[in-house]
Amino acid sequence: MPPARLSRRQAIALSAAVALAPGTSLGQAGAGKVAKIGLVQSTTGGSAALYGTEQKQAIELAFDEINDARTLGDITLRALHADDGADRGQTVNIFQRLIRQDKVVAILGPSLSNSAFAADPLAEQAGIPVVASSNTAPNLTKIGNFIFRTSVPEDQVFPTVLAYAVKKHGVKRVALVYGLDDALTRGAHDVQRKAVQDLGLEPVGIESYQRGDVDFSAQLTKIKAQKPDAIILGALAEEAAAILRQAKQLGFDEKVVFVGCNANISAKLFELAGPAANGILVGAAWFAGYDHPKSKAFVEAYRKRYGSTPDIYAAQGYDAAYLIAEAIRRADTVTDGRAVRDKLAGIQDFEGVLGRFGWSAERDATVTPKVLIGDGQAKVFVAAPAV
Amino acid sequence: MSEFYYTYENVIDLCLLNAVLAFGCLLLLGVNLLSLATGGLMAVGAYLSIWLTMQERWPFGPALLAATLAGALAAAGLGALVLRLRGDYFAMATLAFTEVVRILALNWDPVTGGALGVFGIPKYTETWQLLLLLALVVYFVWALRRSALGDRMRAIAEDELAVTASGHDVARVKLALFTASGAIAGLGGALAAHLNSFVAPGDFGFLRSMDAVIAPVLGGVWNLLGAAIGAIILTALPEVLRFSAQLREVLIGAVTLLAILFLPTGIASLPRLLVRGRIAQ
Repeated sequence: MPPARLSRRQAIALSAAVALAPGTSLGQAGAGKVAKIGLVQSTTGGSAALYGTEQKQAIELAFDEINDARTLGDITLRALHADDGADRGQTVNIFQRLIRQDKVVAILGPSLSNSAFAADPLAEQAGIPVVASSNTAPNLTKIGNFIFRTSVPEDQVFPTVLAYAVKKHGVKRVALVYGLDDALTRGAHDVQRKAVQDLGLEPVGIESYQRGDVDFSAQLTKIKAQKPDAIILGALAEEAAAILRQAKQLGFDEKVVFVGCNANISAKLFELAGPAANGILVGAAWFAGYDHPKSKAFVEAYRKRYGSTPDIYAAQGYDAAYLIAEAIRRADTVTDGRAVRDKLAGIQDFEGVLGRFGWSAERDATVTPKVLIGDGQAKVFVAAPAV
Repeated sequence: MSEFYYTYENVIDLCLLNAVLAFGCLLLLGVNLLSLATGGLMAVGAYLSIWLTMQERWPFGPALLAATLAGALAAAGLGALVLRLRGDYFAMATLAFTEVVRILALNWDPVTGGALGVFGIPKYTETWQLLLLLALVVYFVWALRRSALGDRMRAIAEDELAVTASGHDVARVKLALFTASGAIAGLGGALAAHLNSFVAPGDFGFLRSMDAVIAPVLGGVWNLLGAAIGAIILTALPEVLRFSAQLREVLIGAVTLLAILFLPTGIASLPRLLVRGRIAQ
């Protein structure tokens, strides 16, 4: 059967061609020293690809700006991007190759906290600094001294937002809703519950749901009977939108305040919830309308190059890129990860897109949290009015 | 060679680990059982071993042994319940087990850390351990196929009713195989947990179970090394294709599909087909 054999061979030839292609490596850059920096961001693999791509774009924008301005003298920054497909095993594979073969001096990423827990220990051991710009899981930087992040974890933002709600709306009784099986929402919930305790509020109900749930009326009916002043959401944007809409349908009192988490800061929330998203309070390290010269310049440059408005992960990635560049400039080395790490840890006076920037003792970003309020008409978050 | 190993250590470890797990499924495919319990059984081994090494301060060896036994026990218990089911129903029942274990893991915070997972797990798993285990498993499957039990397995695959009618206890053979496959999954789970310092309930779900079944099918069920070849291809392909960026997922799917369409007896049969083709010319 010749035809069958032919196509079989074509299949083999195709796979062989595919297997051989990556052998061709990138050419070396010209004169001067080149600082190779691993850029581990998911550009495939479900929703992680959305913010992985944002960070990748922002970081590449920052590197180009820095290289064009010759900020680092004769040192050129080169990003080696690798996509881990939001798969933790692959993140470890990539870290290993970047550190052991490509000999990078620092790594920016990875996109997911789970990947970071698996891969960051490799960098820690090898003495290569890692700056994450979208990992928000608690305890992440406890992996070691080389792990930094510009992504502001929930526990630095939420207490401020809740305190604002208490001051502004006199909230006393609260109900909490959260996603049980998602690391992000589960982590947010733990922070929220602690903040409720710390502020001495009365939790009148804690309800949970699982990923993929679309009907929250059972949980909301139970909550409604408890007459809370505020409902605190540990939910992703899609779920938060459904909860807001269904709460409106169930006829919740207009005075009930909804307080969301970091994951709710998304255009999707307004698309899906419509006017029901009006008045939801969230806390953030940054928002596109932030009135700060660096931030405005960044938003403009990003729009010009990519034709879209950057999200918070892009902003955090952009600051991470500038921070690592500043550390390399101060250390004046393209090979010594330890020196870069020490200089990076020493930066306390950085003026970035997120505002004034420094590191906590745990190498988390210390940025003033901004309280935002949902504007259902304009479909954006705006700075909440002062108390 | 050592430089290659140094750079790709984790890829190699994952290839070996996935190959071991694929052999666990291969045992069952040999008697027409498509099990999706691999993920759940791995979770049993993984969480037990994490708990033993991190909370109870056990050394790695005894913890591995405990995980193996726990995997075997869980499989024996599950098998006693679901092995009477046939075809799709068996696959669904084993998938249900994997889901139940995942949901337990999501809710049993003190042991599993809930959705946030367990981090800072000591890295004990070494490449030589995985290599040794794979060699043992390959030898086990080889010896099994040459034994009287192997003949009986082939007979069951051909015609289960005839084997039963001639007085053999098919249910017992299946239970024994399912238990053995559970032991492999439990051990594999423990080794996986101590490989990348982090474990979350999502690691041991449907996808993990599917991968373990696809590997032997892709590599070839009747070739001794088919399961290993399939697992290595599935693990290494994303690395090899990384240059293709957004196209990667499409290419992985296309390569798998082409292999299944044009190489129905598995990729392991490729060299033989090539040789035959050359002789025919």
